[in-house]
Amino acid sequence: QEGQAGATRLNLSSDEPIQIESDRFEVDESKNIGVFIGNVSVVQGATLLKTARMTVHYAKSNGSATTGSAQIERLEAEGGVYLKSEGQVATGDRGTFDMKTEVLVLTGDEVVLTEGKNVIVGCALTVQMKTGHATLESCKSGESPGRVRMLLTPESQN
Amino acid sequence: MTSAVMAEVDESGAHAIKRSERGAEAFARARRHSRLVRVLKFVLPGAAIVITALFLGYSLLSSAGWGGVDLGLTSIENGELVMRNPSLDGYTRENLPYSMTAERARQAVGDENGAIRLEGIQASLPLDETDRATLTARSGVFDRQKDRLTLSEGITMTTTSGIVARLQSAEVDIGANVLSSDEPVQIEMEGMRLRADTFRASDGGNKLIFENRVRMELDPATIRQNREEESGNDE
Repeated sequence: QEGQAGATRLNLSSDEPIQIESDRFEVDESKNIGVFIGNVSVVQGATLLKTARMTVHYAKSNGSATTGSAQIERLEAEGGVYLKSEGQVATGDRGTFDMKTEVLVLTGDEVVLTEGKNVIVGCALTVQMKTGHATLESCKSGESPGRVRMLLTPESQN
Repeated sequence: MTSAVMAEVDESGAHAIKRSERGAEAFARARRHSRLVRVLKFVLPGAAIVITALFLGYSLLSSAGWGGVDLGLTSIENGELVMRNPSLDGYTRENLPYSMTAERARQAVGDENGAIRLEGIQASLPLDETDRATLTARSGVFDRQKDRLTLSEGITMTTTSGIVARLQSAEVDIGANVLSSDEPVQIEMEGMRLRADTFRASDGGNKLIFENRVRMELDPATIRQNREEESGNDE
């Protein structure tokens, strides 16, 4: 644990059931995708993800002898992403989660990571799910190129 | 106390986001629900087509070579031709056996094109070489004019791969190969349950559309346990 002020804990996993809700769910076999559309929310325990559209990409099912299901390769959330987990909130425009590399990436003009009063703004939040290690990259353009802006306030120095 | 500080964090500012050892599992959980794709693609439309075959089999009495059409005990009751336990079995293009029976089929006498009413439909359909599906529907009406089949009062479909689909009713537009239901649908398979208020399968089952209050529940423990059993290590 480097001595970063306001370390964030994005605890994403447990054995708790996951609920996914949306207005519509379309499965398109020919494109090997399933798309949750409209008010999409994914809840697991204290973790909540909200987005407008979430696409599940399946690998081409190899039609093995067993009814091996097509494996899920990647999830993509678009139309704004809100991710809350025990006191931390991350928001961005788009999000992707690659099942193989287990990397979650939240991107957008302004990716905001908030814990209590601590607000960190950048353009891409990358979370290595295996290690839980997260990196917030700065925006190349925008008013403070090359820098991640971080706001600390007294009470948060717990 | 430190005042509010705008601290510059260098480009690679890192924050430890803790996760318990099954961190990625949270997103891997949905893996099993993809099996739904395989089932609904084959079974629901397939069931409809086979049910239709039963009726065509019935009305094409004379044509030979239509699988085994057993018209069961046929009698005339108050102006209706009543067949008890008609059954039909045959083979799909992939040479996999299917069979279909109904407790009763009724059609107005002298009205070959009239609707055929069925009670107690039971079908066994191949999913692929190893998996089969059993479909039951309490009642159905086959309208040959409109080429439509309406199943009602509860439809249940179970597959040997452990999938259970429950519909209250279903409309099958045979010509357009579209199957739909505007009543709640529930589909369950190991560790996943999907519910919605309406459902439509079209494009030969390639496209499945669930709408209105779509809810999917995934149970991590069951899914992981099933995956370990089935695949050993297929990652």
